[in-house]
Amino acid sequence: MSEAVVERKVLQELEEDIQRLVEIYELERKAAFCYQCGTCSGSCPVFMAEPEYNPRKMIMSLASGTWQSFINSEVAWLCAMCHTCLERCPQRIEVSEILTEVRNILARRGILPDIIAEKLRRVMERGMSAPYSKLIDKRRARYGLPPAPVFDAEAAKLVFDIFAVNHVLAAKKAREGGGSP
Amino acid sequence: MTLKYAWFPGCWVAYRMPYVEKSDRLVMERFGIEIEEMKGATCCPEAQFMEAVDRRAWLTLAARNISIAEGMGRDILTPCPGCYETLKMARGILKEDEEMAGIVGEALKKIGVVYRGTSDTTHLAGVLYDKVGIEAIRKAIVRPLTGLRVAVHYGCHLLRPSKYLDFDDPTSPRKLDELVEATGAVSVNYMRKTMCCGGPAGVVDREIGIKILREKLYWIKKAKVDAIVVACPSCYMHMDGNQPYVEEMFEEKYSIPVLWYTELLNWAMGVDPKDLKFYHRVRIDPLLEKLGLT
Repeated sequence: MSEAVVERKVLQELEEDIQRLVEIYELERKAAFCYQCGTCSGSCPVFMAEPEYNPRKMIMSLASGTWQSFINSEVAWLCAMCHTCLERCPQRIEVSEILTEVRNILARRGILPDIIAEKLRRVMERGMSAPYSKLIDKRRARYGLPPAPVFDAEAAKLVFDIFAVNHVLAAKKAREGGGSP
Repeated sequence: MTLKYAWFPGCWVAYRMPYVEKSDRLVMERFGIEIEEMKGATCCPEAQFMEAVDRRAWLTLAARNISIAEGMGRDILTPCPGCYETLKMARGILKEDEEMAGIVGEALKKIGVVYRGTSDTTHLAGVLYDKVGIEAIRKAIVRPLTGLRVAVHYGCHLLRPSKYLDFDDPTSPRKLDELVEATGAVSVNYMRKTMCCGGPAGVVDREIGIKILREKLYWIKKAKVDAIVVACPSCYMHMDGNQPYVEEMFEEKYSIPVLWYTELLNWAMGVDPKDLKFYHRVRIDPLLEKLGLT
């Protein structure tokens, strides 16, 4: 996993976004009821393999304004989106939902792994996230299957334009073009 | 009773795993489930990159896909839990979150799409269990897989978040087990049964994906099973394709075949395993031999 060195200016921009998120999810109030039982982290398949991805700490750090610790890397992107933390939190904190919103915020500042960016590009090019194959219909014919569906890349591009999803890729490029390894 | 659906194979099944689509279609034909292709769809889109990057775009593209099925007057049927989750969640969120429904509605208007939220989405395993029924499936079995012990792996996206998904009970699911047991096989309970296989984490960091898979395999092996049964293309690819790498990293031996659930149904309904032409990284020949299917 690559490190994402986040500049001071970007951190300031993130501060506003994250503050808004904390307000929307009433996280200050909700986290006050979090008794740090660790059910979220204990249920997390990623935490089991990589202790740096720690949902319990991440939620608390969002509520207490010390989120910089996990935002200085791409660690937030390790979430497998299995939503076990969301199912099991005894205080009904929407752990995986909140951490997904955090990734929305990071993406807008260009903080996202290469493979996620590549999938966005695939959707723009072919309307789908799987790698395209020119030979697919031949292969499908051997299974007696009709030709593969053609996905509507134009529609995907229009929707990406509306929400400036392209900007995510541009921001990533700009951030990484800065010369940091 | 005719069951008619708008077919959304999803890009991974359609473009990477034609054997899954073939196997599912055989089962659908067998039980009179009629499907019609959805024209002009996009990626569902996959939550891991799209919901995580921009929830508004994720919901808009999902709503657009649902609107295609609405135009056909049908509910959506998909073989992929990822597509099931996205399309089902999108409909649920747009029903309950007025602010988001407003944002998505504006975007849809700009691209000339009318979304009503009238088409639901189901996974094929759900239709087999809820509509076709275990009794009818049992009656279609001509070659019971007696003596076969399997570990059923549900994966995440059929079950969670249960606030939006209704395939089965999120903590003690039974439907896939019962479908498998209709073939005469035994579904063996094991630790970490509803845990993630690690596939999505492995997309971002391969080593983490392998470590999570090892945890699953460790407990599955302890349950002394002949095979793992899955209903998710991503779990299939990860649990089968990456098993040799778990063995390499941890210097342990697993070699547990990974089967697609309709592959098993087809075997029991008399289809020759060779005709299904599944790709298996972990060899299934010893298993077929044991079952007398070679």
